[in-house]
Amino acid sequence: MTMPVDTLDPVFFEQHVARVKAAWRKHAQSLTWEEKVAAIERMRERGLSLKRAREENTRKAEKS
Amino acid sequence: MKQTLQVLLQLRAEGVLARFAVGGAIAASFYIEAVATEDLDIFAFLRPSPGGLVVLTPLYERLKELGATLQDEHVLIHGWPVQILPAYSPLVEEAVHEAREQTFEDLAVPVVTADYLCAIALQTGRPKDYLRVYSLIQAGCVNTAKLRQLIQIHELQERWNDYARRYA
Repeated sequence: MTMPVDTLDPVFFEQHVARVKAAWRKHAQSLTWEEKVAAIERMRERGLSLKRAREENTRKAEKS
Repeated sequence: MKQTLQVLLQLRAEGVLARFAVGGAIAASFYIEAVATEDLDIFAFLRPSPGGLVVLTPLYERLKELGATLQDEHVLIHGWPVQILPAYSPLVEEAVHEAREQTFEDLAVPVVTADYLCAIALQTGRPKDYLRVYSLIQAGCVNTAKLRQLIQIHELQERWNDYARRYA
Protein backbone atom coordinates (compact mmCIF):
# COMPACT_ATOMS: atom_id res chain seq x y z
CA MET A 1 0.00 0.00 0.00
CA THR A 2 1.30 3.45 -0.94
CA MET A 3 1.62 5.75 2.04
CA PRO A 4 -0.02 9.12 1.38
CA VAL A 5 2.23 12.15 1.76
CA ASP A 6 0.04 13.52 4.52
CA THR A 7 -0.34 10.64 6.98
CA LEU A 8 -2.51 12.84 9.17
CA ASP A 9 -5.10 13.03 6.43
CA PRO A 10 -8.25 12.43 8.55
CA VAL A 11 -9.66 9.64 6.37
CA PHE A 12 -6.34 7.79 6.18
CA PHE A 13 -5.79 8.32 9.90
CA GLU A 14 -9.22 6.93 10.85
CA GLN A 15 -8.77 3.92 8.56
CA HIS A 16 -5.28 3.27 9.86
CA VAL A 17 -6.43 3.40 13.49
CA ALA A 18 -9.35 1.07 12.69
CA ARG A 19 -6.98 -1.39 10.97
CA VAL A 20 -4.52 -1.37 13.86
CA LYS A 21 -7.34 -1.84 16.38
CA ALA A 22 -8.83 -4.72 14.40
CA ALA A 23 -5.41 -6.39 14.04
CA TRP A 24 -4.76 -5.98 17.75
CA ARG A 25 -8.18 -7.38 18.66
CA LYS A 26 -7.59 -10.37 16.41
CA HIS A 27 -4.19 -10.90 18.03
CA ALA A 28 -5.61 -10.55 21.56
CA GLN A 29 -8.41 -13.02 20.79
CA SER A 30 -5.85 -15.56 19.63
CA LEU A 31 -4.08 -15.51 23.01
CA THR A 32 -4.91 -17.88 25.82
CA TRP A 33 -5.76 -16.61 29.30
CA GLU A 34 -2.36 -17.83 30.53
CA GLU A 35 -0.59 -15.83 27.80
CA LYS A 36 -2.57 -12.72 28.64
CA VAL A 37 -1.82 -13.07 32.36
CA ALA A 38 1.87 -13.53 31.48
CA ALA A 39 1.66 -10.26 29.50
CA ILE A 40 0.09 -8.56 32.55
CA GLU A 41 2.93 -9.91 34.70
CA ARG A 42 5.48 -8.43 32.29
CA MET A 43 3.67 -5.07 32.34
CA ARG A 44 3.67 -5.18 36.13
CA GLU A 45 7.40 -5.95 36.29
CA ARG A 46 8.14 -3.07 33.89
CA GLY A 47 5.97 -0.76 36.00
CA LEU A 48 7.79 -1.81 39.17
CA SER A 49 11.26 -1.31 37.66
CA LEU A 50 10.24 2.14 36.35
CA LYS A 51 8.96 3.01 39.82
CA ARG A 52 12.24 1.84 41.39
CA ALA A 53 14.26 3.87 38.86
CA ARG A 54 12.16 6.98 39.58
CA GLU A 55 12.64 6.54 43.32
CA GLU A 56 16.40 6.09 42.83
CA ASN A 57 16.56 9.24 40.69
CA THR A 58 14.62 11.17 43.33
CA ARG A 59 17.02 9.95 46.04
CA LYS A 60 20.04 10.96 43.95
CA ALA A 61 18.51 14.36 43.20
CA GLU A 62 17.82 14.94 46.89
CA LYS A 63 21.41 14.03 47.82
CA SER A 64 23.03 16.32 45.27
CA MET B 1 0.07 -16.51 39.12
CA LYS B 2 -0.48 -20.25 39.15
CA GLN B 3 0.96 -20.60 42.66
CA THR B 4 -1.15 -17.66 43.85
CA LEU B 5 -4.31 -19.28 42.52
CA GLN B 6 -3.27 -22.60 44.05
CA VAL B 7 -3.12 -20.98 47.50
CA LEU B 8 -6.62 -19.52 47.04
CA LEU B 9 -7.97 -22.89 45.94
CA GLN B 10 -6.30 -24.49 48.94
CA LEU B 11 -7.97 -21.97 51.26
CA ARG B 12 -11.32 -22.86 49.72
CA ALA B 13 -10.63 -26.58 50.07
CA GLU B 14 -9.77 -26.04 53.74
CA GLY B 15 -12.98 -24.03 54.23
CA VAL B 16 -11.20 -20.81 55.21
CA LEU B 17 -12.76 -19.22 52.14
CA ALA B 18 -16.31 -20.52 51.75
CA ARG B 19 -16.42 -19.48 48.12
CA PHE B 20 -14.48 -17.07 45.92
CA ALA B 21 -14.19 -15.79 42.37
CA VAL B 22 -11.53 -13.91 40.46
CA GLY B 23 -12.69 -10.41 39.48
CA GLY B 24 -11.14 -7.20 38.21
CA ALA B 25 -8.58 -6.90 35.43
CA ILE B 26 -7.37 -10.50 35.71
CA ALA B 27 -10.91 -11.81 35.23
CA ALA B 28 -11.47 -9.34 32.39
CA SER B 29 -8.32 -10.63 30.70
CA PHE B 30 -10.06 -13.97 30.29
CA TYR B 31 -12.56 -12.29 27.93
CA ILE B 32 -10.71 -9.33 26.43
CA GLU B 33 -7.17 -8.13 25.79
CA ALA B 34 -4.84 -7.81 28.76
CA VAL B 35 -4.58 -4.44 30.47
CA ALA B 36 -2.04 -3.48 33.10
CA THR B 37 -2.99 -4.10 36.70
CA GLU B 38 -1.12 -4.07 39.96
CA ASP B 39 -3.17 -6.63 41.78
CA LEU B 40 -5.43 -9.64 41.68
CA ASP B 41 -8.96 -8.93 42.90
CA ILE B 42 -10.74 -11.74 44.68
CA PHE B 43 -14.39 -11.54 45.73
CA ALA B 44 -15.00 -13.95 48.54
CA PHE B 45 -17.42 -15.34 51.07
CA LEU B 46 -15.53 -15.91 54.27
CA ARG B 47 -16.32 -18.63 56.75
CA PRO B 48 -18.43 -17.11 59.55
CA SER B 49 -17.19 -17.48 63.13
CA PRO B 50 -19.27 -19.62 65.55
CA GLY B 51 -21.04 -16.43 66.65
CA GLY B 52 -22.10 -15.80 63.06
CA LEU B 53 -19.81 -12.83 62.48
CA VAL B 54 -17.49 -12.79 59.52
CA VAL B 55 -13.96 -12.17 60.73
CA LEU B 56 -10.80 -11.87 58.68
CA THR B 57 -8.40 -13.14 61.35
CA PRO B 58 -8.51 -16.88 60.51
CA LEU B 59 -7.98 -16.09 56.83
CA TYR B 60 -4.96 -13.88 57.45
CA GLU B 61 -3.48 -16.30 59.98
CA ARG B 62 -3.72 -19.16 57.51
CA LEU B 63 -2.29 -17.00 54.73
CA LYS B 64 0.70 -16.15 56.92
CA GLU B 65 1.22 -19.85 57.62
CA LEU B 66 1.28 -20.39 53.86
CA GLY B 67 4.01 -17.76 53.45
CA ALA B 68 1.93 -14.76 52.46
CA THR B 69 2.74 -11.31 53.80
CA LEU B 70 0.58 -8.25 54.35
CA GLN B 71 1.31 -5.25 52.16
CA ASP B 72 -1.01 -2.28 52.74
CA GLU B 73 -4.49 -3.41 51.68
CA HIS B 74 -3.07 -6.42 49.85
CA VAL B 75 -1.82 -9.84 50.76
CA LEU B 76 1.33 -10.72 48.87
CA ILE B 77 0.95 -14.34 47.73
CA HIS B 78 3.82 -15.74 45.68
CA GLY B 79 4.73 -12.28 44.40
CA TRP B 80 1.20 -11.18 43.49
CA PRO B 81 -0.55 -8.53 45.59
CA VAL B 82 -4.01 -9.99 46.16
CA GLN B 83 -6.96 -7.94 47.33
CA ILE B 84 -9.46 -10.21 49.04
CA LEU B 85 -12.75 -8.36 49.13
CA PRO B 86 -15.56 -9.91 51.17
CA ALA B 87 -18.60 -9.90 48.84
CA TYR B 88 -19.74 -6.35 49.64
CA SER B 89 -23.03 -5.97 47.78
CA PRO B 90 -25.90 -8.17 46.56
CA LEU B 91 -24.50 -7.78 43.04
CA VAL B 92 -21.05 -9.04 44.04
CA GLU B 93 -22.58 -11.87 46.07
CA GLU B 94 -24.51 -12.95 42.99
CA ALA B 95 -21.38 -12.61 40.84
CA VAL B 96 -19.51 -15.02 43.11
CA HIS B 97 -22.40 -17.51 43.03
CA GLU B 98 -22.69 -17.28 39.24
CA ALA B 99 -18.93 -17.45 38.55
CA ARG B 100 -17.82 -20.08 36.04
CA GLU B 101 -14.80 -22.29 36.43
CA GLN B 102 -12.15 -21.53 33.81
CA THR B 103 -8.91 -23.37 33.28
CA PHE B 104 -5.65 -21.63 34.15
CA GLU B 105 -2.87 -24.04 33.34
CA ASP B 106 -4.28 -27.18 34.98
CA LEU B 107 -6.33 -25.40 37.65
CA ALA B 108 -10.11 -24.91 37.61
CA VAL B 109 -10.49 -21.32 38.76
CA PRO B 110 -13.83 -19.58 39.41
CA VAL B 111 -14.01 -16.41 37.31
CA VAL B 112 -16.72 -13.74 37.38
CA THR B 113 -18.70 -13.84 34.12
CA ALA B 114 -18.50 -11.00 31.59
CA ASP B 115 -22.07 -9.88 32.38
CA TYR B 116 -21.33 -9.52 36.08
CA LEU B 117 -17.94 -7.89 35.40
CA CYS B 118 -19.82 -5.25 33.39
CA ALA B 119 -22.41 -4.69 36.11
CA ILE B 120 -19.74 -4.48 38.85
CA ALA B 121 -17.73 -2.05 36.71
CA LEU B 122 -20.84 0.11 36.30
CA GLN B 123 -21.40 -0.01 40.06
CA THR B 124 -17.78 1.01 40.72
CA GLY B 125 -18.09 3.75 38.12
CA ARG B 126 -14.53 5.03 37.57
CA PRO B 127 -13.42 5.94 34.03
CA LYS B 128 -11.32 2.77 33.81
CA ASP B 129 -14.36 0.71 34.82
CA TYR B 130 -16.47 2.27 32.05
CA LEU B 131 -13.66 1.46 29.64
CA ARG B 132 -13.87 -2.17 30.77
CA VAL B 133 -17.64 -2.19 30.12
CA TYR B 134 -16.98 -0.79 26.64
CA SER B 135 -14.26 -3.35 25.89
CA LEU B 136 -16.37 -6.30 27.09
CA ILE B 137 -19.38 -5.20 25.05
CA GLN B 138 -17.23 -4.48 22.01
CA ALA B 139 -15.62 -7.92 22.26
CA GLY B 140 -19.09 -9.46 22.02
CA CYS B 141 -18.80 -11.52 25.18
CA VAL B 142 -21.67 -9.90 27.08
CA ASN B 143 -25.16 -11.32 27.14
CA THR B 144 -27.02 -8.04 26.68
CA ALA B 145 -30.35 -9.37 27.97
CA LYS B 146 -28.63 -10.52 31.17
CA LEU B 147 -26.77 -7.21 31.53
CA ARG B 148 -30.02 -5.28 31.08
CA GLN B 149 -31.60 -7.45 33.80
CA LEU B 150 -28.65 -6.82 36.16
CA ILE B 151 -28.85 -3.07 35.52
CA GLN B 152 -32.55 -3.09 36.44
CA ILE B 153 -32.31 -5.39 39.47
CA HIS B 154 -29.31 -3.63 40.97
CA GLU B 155 -30.55 -0.15 40.11
CA LEU B 156 -27.66 0.80 37.90
CA GLN B 157 -29.71 2.76 35.35
CA GLU B 158 -28.08 6.09 36.23
CA ARG B 159 -24.63 4.58 35.90
CA TRP B 160 -25.59 3.02 32.60
CA ASN B 161 -26.86 6.38 31.33
CA ASP B 162 -23.64 8.02 32.47
CA TYR B 163 -21.63 5.32 30.66
CA ALA B 164 -23.78 5.65 27.51
CA ARG B 165 -23.30 9.44 27.46
CA ARG B 166 -19.53 8.89 27.34
CA TYR B 167 -19.25 5.86 25.07
CA ALA B 168 -22.43 5.39 23.02
